[in-house]
Amino acid sequence: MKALTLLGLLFATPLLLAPRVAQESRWSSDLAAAHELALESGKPLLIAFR
Amino acid sequence: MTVKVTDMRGVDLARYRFDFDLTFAMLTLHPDGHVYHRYGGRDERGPGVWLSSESFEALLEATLDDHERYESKPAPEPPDPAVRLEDVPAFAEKDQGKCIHCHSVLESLYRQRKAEGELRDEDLWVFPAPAIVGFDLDRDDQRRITQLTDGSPAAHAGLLIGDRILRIGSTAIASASDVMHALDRMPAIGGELEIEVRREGSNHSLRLDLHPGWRTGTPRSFAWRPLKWALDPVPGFGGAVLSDEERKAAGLDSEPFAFRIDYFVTSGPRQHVGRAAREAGLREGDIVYRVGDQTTFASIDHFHAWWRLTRKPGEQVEVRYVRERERGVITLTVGS
Repeated sequence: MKALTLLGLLFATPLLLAPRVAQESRWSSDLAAAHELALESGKPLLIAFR
Repeated sequence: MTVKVTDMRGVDLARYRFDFDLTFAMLTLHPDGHVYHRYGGRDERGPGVWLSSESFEALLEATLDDHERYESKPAPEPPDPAVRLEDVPAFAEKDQGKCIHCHSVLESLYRQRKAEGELRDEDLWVFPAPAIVGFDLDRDDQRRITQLTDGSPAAHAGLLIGDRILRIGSTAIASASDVMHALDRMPAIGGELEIEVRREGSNHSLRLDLHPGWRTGTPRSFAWRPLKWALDPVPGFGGAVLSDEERKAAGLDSEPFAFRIDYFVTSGPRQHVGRAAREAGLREGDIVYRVGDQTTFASIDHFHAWWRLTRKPGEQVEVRYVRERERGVITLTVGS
């Protein structure tokens, strides 16, 4: 499970960091929602500021 | 759960505190707000000095380890009152409702504290790099000490090359950013900081003694920071550094540094400084090779940081330059 979670974070983070203008405004205002979703899932949060 | 933030509007700067001068930073957290680790820090050597896939993977591993052990507490209160940049008067008065960049944060907070007459060293010498206390960290394994400065607080504490830092104060360490966060929490008046290291299979607890003024770095160490643009006094002019070939062509091959003036500050609250530099005799195209007692700078940013951190209003500064291969010198009065 830990390995899968690590792989998921490693995979997802580069994708999120790639320039995606359409997503930027959506994600930048969803910190509160991300906390709630992470709480429900039991996963840690990774927040990239760029 | 991954989130990308590109606009600091609405972000609680107290809850999500990191070195806001960075162009890239990461936090890993428990959903209840507890920060596990930070990543993405830098020092004067450049933005990539502590970025690598190996160190990022190590950060994620450390986060998952901490997450497994963490006992969640119900929604802890943030340590400080919430701070949103758009609510800070020094920013709000110029807010045009556009995207707020990270690098606007420290500059605005600095201006606000200055306006309130409450500036502290901690507002200027933010997120001290480990070099300030005398050690350096491996880029790929950022717990591991790779260099130690003789006579430094780190050396006096008994740290050794090869030690792996596990904790500084109450901050668990998995990155250089964690180290800088731990140091940032220490006041400028100094104090004692406990450091836990792993050495040859066992843990050791050491004490770092920090004296008053420990946070104060050098203009060169500060030069990369966008925060420097908030400081006064300013020279009122600037330009691009000449290459070795360009210096030679200008007859300055014996001078280690030179820049060509390509602007004067002609608008805004500091326009009087740019005007004074022109009236003193400087012109666009002049090649400046010596300022005061400084014969070299690491970069044009270093020149700007040096001026802002070391010159005093009313002081006289000699500026030596070349114009059409003729050398000249003018004396500038440092503006306020």
